[in-house]
Formats: sequence, C-alpha cells, structure tokens
Amino acid sequence: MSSPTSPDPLRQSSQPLLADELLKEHEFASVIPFNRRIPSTRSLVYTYLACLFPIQVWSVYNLLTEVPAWLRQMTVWDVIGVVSYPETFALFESVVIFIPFVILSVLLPCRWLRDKFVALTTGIVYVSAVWFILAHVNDLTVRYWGLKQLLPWLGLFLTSQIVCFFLIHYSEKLESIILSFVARVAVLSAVYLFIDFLSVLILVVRNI
Amino acid sequence: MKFLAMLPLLAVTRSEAGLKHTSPRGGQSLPNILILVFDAFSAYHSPLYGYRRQTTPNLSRFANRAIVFHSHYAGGNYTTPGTASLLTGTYPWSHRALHIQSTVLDEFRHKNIFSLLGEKGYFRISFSHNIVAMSFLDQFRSAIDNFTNTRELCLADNYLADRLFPKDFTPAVHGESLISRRGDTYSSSLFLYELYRLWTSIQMKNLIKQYGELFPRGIPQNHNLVFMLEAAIDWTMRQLERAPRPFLAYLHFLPPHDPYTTRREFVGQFDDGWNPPPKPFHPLSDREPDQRLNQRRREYDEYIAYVDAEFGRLHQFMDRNGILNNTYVIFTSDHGELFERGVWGHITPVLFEPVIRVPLLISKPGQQTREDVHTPTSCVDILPTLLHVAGIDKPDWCEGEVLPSIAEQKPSPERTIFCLEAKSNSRYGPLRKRTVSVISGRYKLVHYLGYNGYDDQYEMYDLTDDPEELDNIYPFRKSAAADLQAFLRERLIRADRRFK
Repeated sequence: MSSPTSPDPLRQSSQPLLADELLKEHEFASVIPFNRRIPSTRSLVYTYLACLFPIQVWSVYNLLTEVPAWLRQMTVWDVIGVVSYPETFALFESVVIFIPFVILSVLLPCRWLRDKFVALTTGIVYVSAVWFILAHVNDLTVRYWGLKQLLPWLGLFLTSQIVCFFLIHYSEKLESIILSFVARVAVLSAVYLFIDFLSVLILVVRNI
Repeated sequence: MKFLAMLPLLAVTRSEAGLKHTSPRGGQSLPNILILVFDAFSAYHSPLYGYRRQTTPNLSRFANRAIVFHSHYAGGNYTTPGTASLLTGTYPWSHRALHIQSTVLDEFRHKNIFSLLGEKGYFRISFSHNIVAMSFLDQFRSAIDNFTNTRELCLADNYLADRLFPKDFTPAVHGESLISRRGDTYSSSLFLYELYRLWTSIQMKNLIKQYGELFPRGIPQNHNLVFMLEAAIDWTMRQLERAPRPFLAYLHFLPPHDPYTTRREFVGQFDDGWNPPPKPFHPLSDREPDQRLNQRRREYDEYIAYVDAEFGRLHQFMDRNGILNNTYVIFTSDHGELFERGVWGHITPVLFEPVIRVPLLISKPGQQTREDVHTPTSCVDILPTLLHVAGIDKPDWCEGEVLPSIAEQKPSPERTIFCLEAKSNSRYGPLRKRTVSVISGRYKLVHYLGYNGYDDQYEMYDLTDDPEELDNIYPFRKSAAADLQAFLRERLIRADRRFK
C-alpha cells in the first residue's frame, strides 16, 4: 500500500520512464519502441485485478441466488461443476475486457492512456459496469429497443465515459482515490482469481 | 406452399451419416416402435376428448385405426417428471427427476426404455427439440444407436455447452444458462451478455426476414433454439425409411409448447368468440385474468392445429409407405397446459386435468378399427407395454402396468394412478413440499403439502359427474376420501423410505 508521501507504485508517471521523455522529444507515439509502450507489469496486474472485480462480484452475486435451488437437486460435486462454468467464463470475460485497454495503451499516445493506465482503465471499466448493470436490471425493456431508442442512451454512455476520462486525466486527487481503491480491491480480486483458476481445473477434471 | 419449397434447406441431417446399419438386425419378427411426444399437448384441447374446437382433425383420422386412451395421465405437470416417468416406467418419487433440467437417479441409467429394448436387438433412435428432455437422452446416450442432437434440426442455436463439454452435459447446460440468461434471473456475465444478446437479436432479425411471413407470431423457439416442426417431421420420415429394423424411435417435438407461434394459415382460426365458463382462482394461482387466459388459449389451440397438420403429414407418409403395418405408433405428450383458475401454462403447483391429462393413442401394426379405453392409465404404463410387445417381462422396479387392450387380461377396476409435482422439494430428501394427485375410478384426490397459506390441504373431485373439477367434494365426502388418503399415505411412506 502506498502512503501519501511515498511515490505511488501504481502511478505510471511517477516512475522515471524513458517513454515519457521520448514522448516529449517526439510528437508521434509510433516512434517509441513497442515494449516500452506496454504499461509496467505491476500496472497491468493491478489493473487486471481491478477489472476482474466487478465482473466477479456480479457473477458470484447471481450464482449465490441459484445455489440453494441447485443443492436441492444436485450432488455437491455437480453443484461445484455448475458453479465452475460461469466462474471460468468470468475469467475469460475479464481477459476479454482487459486486453483492448492494453492494446489501446500501445496504440494511443502515451499521455492519453498509458501514463494513467491503472486509473483510466479502472474508471472506464467501473463506469461501464454501472451502465451494464442498469441494462441487466432493465433487460426486459432494453431487449425490445430498436436503434432509435438505443441511440440516446448510447450517447449518454459515451458522454459518461468521456467525462470520466477527463476527470481522471486532469484530477490528481481523483486519480489517487482510484489508485488507493485499486490497491485494496486487488487483494480481494486475487482471491477471486484463485477461485477462477480452481474452476478451470475443476472443468478439466470433469471433462477428461 | 412457400414452406414446402424451403424444406430441403431446413432439414439438416448431419446425424444421418451415423446411420451405418441398413440391414435388419436381430429380432426381425419384432414390430417397430415409434413414440411421438408432442410437448405440452393437453388432451383437454382435442375434440377427440370432447373439446369444443376442431383442433385435431388429423389426430381424429389416426384415431380411427388406433386405441384411444381417454383417461391417460402424465407423471408430472411439466417436462422433467413427465418425460422421465415415460422413459423409466416409474413415478417421479422413484426416478427423482423433480427439477427443471435435472436427470434421473443414476440407477436408472440402465433401467429405461432404450436399455431394455436394446437387449432385444432394437435399433434405438432419439431426438428431442426440448433441451430439458435432452438431458435424459444424454443420460441414456450409451443405449441409443442414433442420438440426434437438438441443434441438428434447428435453424439456429446458441448452445455451446454440449459442443465444448459433451462429457458433462447437464451441469454444463446449467452453467451456460446462467451465463446466457435463460430464466428470470440476471445473466452472470456482466459485459459480454449484452454482446451475446445483440448477436442473437441480429440472428433473429435475419430469421424473421426469412420466415416471418410464414410465422406471423414469431418463429418457433425455446431455450435459444429456433426450429421448424416441418424440418423435424421430414427428418422423421427419412429415419423411418432408412432405420434398421426393428427400430425404437423416441421423438420429442416441442410444439405445442409455448410460445404459441403457429403457422400463418392457422392464425385466427379460432377467433370464434367462444370462451369456456370461468372458474374461480385457485389459492396457488398467479391470478392471471380470464381475458388473458382466453387469448392464450386461442393461440394455443391454433398452435395445436398446426401440430396436427404436421402430424397429419407424417401419418399420411406412414400409411403410404406401409410403416403402419409393422409399427406400433404411439402418440402422446409429457404434460398438458392450463388456462384456467388464474393459472397459465404448466409451471404451477396445481394438478388439474388440463395440465396432467394427455392424449395417448396407440396404433398397433396393421390396426384397422378404433378401440376406446376409459380405464385410467399413466405414462408409466408405456414402458411395460412396450416390453410386453417385445416379449420381455416387466421388471420388478417398474411401477406401470401393461396397457389395457394390449395386455391379455382385463384392466383392474382398482387401478390407481398418481401424478406428482415437487420441483421445490429436495431431490434427495423425503417429499415435504409437493402436490400429489391420486386417481382411482371416478375420484381424484389432490394433496397439497408445504405451500405457504395452503399447507396440508386436500381437494377431491368426482371426474364422472364433474369433469371440469368445479366442485371440491372433499369436505362433504371425507369417508370416501379416507381410503384414497390411506392408500396415498402408504405409497408416499414407501417412496420416501429410502430418502430419509
């Protein structure tokens, strides 16, 4: 955990980055070597764990509502099997959601995403999570919408993302709050990650 | 007809490659057996059983050369217990397939219609549109020679579970349904579900573009499977032609299960203004208003007319090709459907006649005249009947009897039929939350146990004088009910003994 006085390990710009210097020297991001454009391993790990968290919480919440019913009709081993499928899927989903951000951070100028990779990615994923939860809750309405009804909401969604992006980009305080949140949430996510890997193992055992 | 032109395109028959045997197998003198199950087909909705609307002219034609069972009951009020009872010849309290998408106890893996008839050399074919019934077929897969997957006769399906995890079918389907939201709960996938939904809606729009004109109420679908009955009937015809003899074919078609998406020519066929007399709400009903129930009943009847037309096509084919001369053709259903007392459908704790009384017609090889059987019969009787036909003795674990008119001896007037609903009960525990009905002679006793506000309640109806079950005579005929109660209690104690 980082103290307010010590440099934040998650803050990409707090480290003496060659990429930053290069960026200042060269206007075009394309000149920075590829390996330097990928966020640091620590940032990647923390960001991934932060992205995993809402996906996993949503998955576990929905599983728990079903488990009591399954216990009535299945053996414990079968219930573990059933739970393993969505858990494995949550692992897959978290990777699918996370990878585009890594790719974007490589493709975009460093100061757009890479420099504040942890905070920006976490912010965007969490704001999206709120919107997607709203879509789930209103699924029976949303599923019958055409493009015409969807467009204003899509506009609001994008606006909220842009606002989130600029707020994090220009507010050091907000960035710090997010970083300290990520540092805490990562511990819990690590437990979820362990469960996910266990689920993968269970699926392998059940299917060989 | 436009649909006839596209049938060759619809009839995807990947499974046919699996038909290696074309020469007769052992037991050549045995008759073929064809079991046609039309899901959620209530006997109450066929004029063959006294319904007012002419929903099933083709079934009536078939009945002219078949045995018509007038009081035939499913084992439960929805697919899981109904199908399991039919396939195992046991009541739900024995096979314990009580919950949606659940399977029978492991011991029934080899105590079922496929395993037993396989011993006599039958070539066994199975297909189900209904993914719930598919769980059983998957469980009995080792005893099925031609196992045709649901998706093989579908226009579109979004199932991955059986493709990716064939060895763990039922838990995988459960897991997948959590992710793709096939119930009333949220999808467990936070982000990707929305993309999945987008993909399926695009897929559906394309299908509607192709087939929407033919099916104005929507293309038949269930559990993310989009299908056409026409394709399944065409596939059936090809199986009947090519399958090695003798064969046992268990074919489970989803229509007329909801959604009631009938074909164009049947839409509006029953806009006749007729509504059945209203019945009071049941304490365990969802209190659906009569107006909505009557609308749904009309749509259901129109869907039945479509099913009947397709069955008529199959019947004609079988007649023309001489299949009826050497085949027992069984037409039945796994459960019925209810549109009264504030209840719609079949996911309900109640066990009124429309939801448990199903059609049963059996055409014996070469049968030319109609026979009518009014003795109460159950779907658990089908297995011992088929064993009897194949010359196999009824196993001691089987709870059914050989059906009247096929058995040599006369049916017992004391015959008692049961029907059980226990989807909220534990599969491995005694039956503490359930509805059970016992039908004996003219009386039907129903016992509700474990429901909030309606616990340990009895209802009794005289089915001869009151076929609509309007007068609960239990409070006035307690002495008549006492025998049935005692009998029921004894059976339940016996059934629960091993689960305590």
